Amino acid sequence: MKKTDDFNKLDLFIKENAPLAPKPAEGHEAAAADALSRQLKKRSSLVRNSWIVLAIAASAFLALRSKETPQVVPQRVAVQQIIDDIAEDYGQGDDTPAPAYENWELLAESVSTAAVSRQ
Amino acid sequence: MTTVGSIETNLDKLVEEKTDGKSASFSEFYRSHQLYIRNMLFRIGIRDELDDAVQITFVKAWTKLDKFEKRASVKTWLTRIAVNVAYERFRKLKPAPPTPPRQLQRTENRVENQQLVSRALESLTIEHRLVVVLCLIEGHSLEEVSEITGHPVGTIKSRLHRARTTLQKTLKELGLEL
Repeated sequence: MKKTDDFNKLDLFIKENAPLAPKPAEGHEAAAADALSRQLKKRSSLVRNSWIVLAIAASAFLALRSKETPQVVPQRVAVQQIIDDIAEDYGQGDDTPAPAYENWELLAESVSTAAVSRQ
Repeated sequence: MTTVGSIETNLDKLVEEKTDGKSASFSEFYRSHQLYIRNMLFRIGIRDELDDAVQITFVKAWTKLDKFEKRASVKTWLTRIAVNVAYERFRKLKPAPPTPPRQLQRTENRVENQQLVSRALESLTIEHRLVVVLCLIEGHSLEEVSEITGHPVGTIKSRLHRARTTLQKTLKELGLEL
């Protein structure tokens, strides 16, 4: 009985004093929601499961990662989701083996390097 | 504050709208539920990449909304997606070195008590922390936690018991007698 009482006190203390996540900067939540919403609309119009899309997405991902700000995070997240989805689609194909994730990153590096050298 | 009831209502409406091909609002979906997901992810240990994890959770949920079969409640389904995102993050991270216990006193100050709970949660393994956060803090039932984690109810019960014992021990080491 003592143990149950102790656990009840513990449970109450944990619940009443549960840590809270730091609040995002003012306006960040709304900006993130709108940015994600826009990215998802654009995403739905893309032709998926293609190396061209993958290359563009990977390049964008790297470019966005290099200049990280709160406003850029939603765009990078959306791009990352495209890459993950394409990887998943390849995994579900009958004959096409899913490329290892490292290969996607390698490809992304190549695309990024090529983009930089053209600038 | 977002209540369980409002989560259920809003998500049900959203699932219906998206399934019917109507212009459901992702922004509304995100704004309504991000606080719950944000706090839950923070409590189970997502820190530096919290914004990323929250947003990935919602993008995944939105894109898979059509596949939601209503076998579980929508809150359980959304929580499961968030927990999977958290696990992916933890797999990528190297385990942090254990932090030495530092004496903290229970006070009437809520912020200091939250620090105590935070330190105690950090002393748990991720599996035990997850069960504590979902059951004790977020108020999920054992069956729901079983659905979220994919482990049997018996395993969840046993993890909860061991986690409570560890929490008591850690809080005692930190100078708190309950």
